[in-house]
Amino acid sequence: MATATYEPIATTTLTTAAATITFSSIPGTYTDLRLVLVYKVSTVSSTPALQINSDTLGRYTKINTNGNGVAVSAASSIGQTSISLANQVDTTIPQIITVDIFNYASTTVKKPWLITTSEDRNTAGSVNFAAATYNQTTDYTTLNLSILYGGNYSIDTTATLYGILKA
Amino acid sequence: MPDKKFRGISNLPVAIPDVPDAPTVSATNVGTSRAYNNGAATVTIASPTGGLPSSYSITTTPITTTTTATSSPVTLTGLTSATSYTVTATATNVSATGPATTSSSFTATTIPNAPTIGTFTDGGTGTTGTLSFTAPATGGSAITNYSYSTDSSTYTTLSPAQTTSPLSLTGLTVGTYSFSVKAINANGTSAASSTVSGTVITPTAFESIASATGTGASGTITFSSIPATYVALQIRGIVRCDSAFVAQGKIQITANGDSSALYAWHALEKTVTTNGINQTYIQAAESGFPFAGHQTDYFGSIILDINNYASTTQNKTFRMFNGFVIPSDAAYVSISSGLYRSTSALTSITLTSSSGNWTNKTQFALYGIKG
Repeated sequence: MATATYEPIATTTLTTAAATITFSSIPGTYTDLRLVLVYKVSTVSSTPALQINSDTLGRYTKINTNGNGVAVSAASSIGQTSISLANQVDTTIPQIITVDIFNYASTTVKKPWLITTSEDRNTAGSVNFAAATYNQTTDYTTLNLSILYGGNYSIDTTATLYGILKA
Repeated sequence: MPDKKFRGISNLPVAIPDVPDAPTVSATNVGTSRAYNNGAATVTIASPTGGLPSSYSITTTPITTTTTATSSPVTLTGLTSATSYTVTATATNVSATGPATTSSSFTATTIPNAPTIGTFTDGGTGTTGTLSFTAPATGGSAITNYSYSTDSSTYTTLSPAQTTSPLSLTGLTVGTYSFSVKAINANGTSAASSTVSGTVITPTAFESIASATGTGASGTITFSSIPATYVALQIRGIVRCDSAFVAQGKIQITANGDSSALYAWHALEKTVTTNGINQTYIQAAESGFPFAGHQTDYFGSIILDINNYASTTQNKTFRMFNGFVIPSDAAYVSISSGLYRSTSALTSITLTSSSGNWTNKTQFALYGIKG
């Protein structure tokens, strides 16, 4: 029979505001990872970002398409110190981000990511879909969710890391 | 008066008893609760004619044992399970041992031997699983059921009875157990097998079905014999082809080996929208994927969802999300819809590189999503 897969690895729900959420010691037993972040931030400039293995060097690249109800735009960012995950954030309305990381335990390929961001603040909002990568072949053992441009993740922010295992 | 020389000595004749005739013997298997290879039989010996016996000698074959007894019935033990025995007896008194009796036969039966444990396979429901084993020697009486334990202490007899491997277990809860099994026949329950560890996992709506890796020699990967037991499918993959140059190479998707013009797609790639109507495939990975001309080690990725794939009354709808980035080289991302205008249940999916072969690090994995 088919093998059951798609398992939660860890969940963090903030009971106090925090500038970082870290998933460490990620087991290398899955094929892909999926990170689901449901979050609010302390200031409207605070932007969720993701780094791998605590690496803050300029090794992150992303291509993003954004639609905000008015226009569609696309932008690339190369050699960044993290992958920015959001365009519009809110201090009171939760927003959703999913990050799919493929073949994360490989030590021979540079892992591709796919990111979706759903942001709706009633009077403004946007949807984003992006491809990204961390320009190293090392396996991913730690995911670091950080905040760009200051501020914190607010109370009740929840980050869940899932493992997906192929047959 | 007797002669003084013989005074005190009787001259009456001494009575020498007759030799016993052959006794009548009847042997009956005991069976119940007898341990494996420790069978038992009850041997009843009727007093023979002729001289009164003082003891009996009982002999069993083919595994020869001789037992001496002074009374009947006699219980024989240590018999080999599932073995047909012949019993004969002789009666002995002070005169001699009489002739052997006409034989009596029986088959020694016992409880079964202990089964050999196999493996536990989770049933994917959080409450069920299957436990394999190798059936033991029956002990001479057919195995009618099995019991199992999750802790080597308490055993649950299966109801309704099951007599073949693997056993279907129900009523479990999520957790890791030490499984063992016992066999049951008309004589009783066997000793326990050794144990095997097994885990009942939290049920999931998302199951892996199959995976495939590129060979470097083919631009086609097919998932076939897809079970119809899910409500939707998802294919996840990392892709790269070996073509020297691909102008935004695409993944072409066909279903059921059907290459007729029943496919369509609509896509948004970065800020550009495209479509294809009445095509012979669905064009996925609108934004392409890396090829041989790109830096090594970079791959495109794709998530492909197929809804209602097992329906025989509705057309099949697809959603694709893919992209790749290579620093200072190329960066694409797209999201697409797809359509296969067929009401046939989808049983196979073929993923074809529009140019070149899938490299040997290309991977696709097929998952099923439950309702």
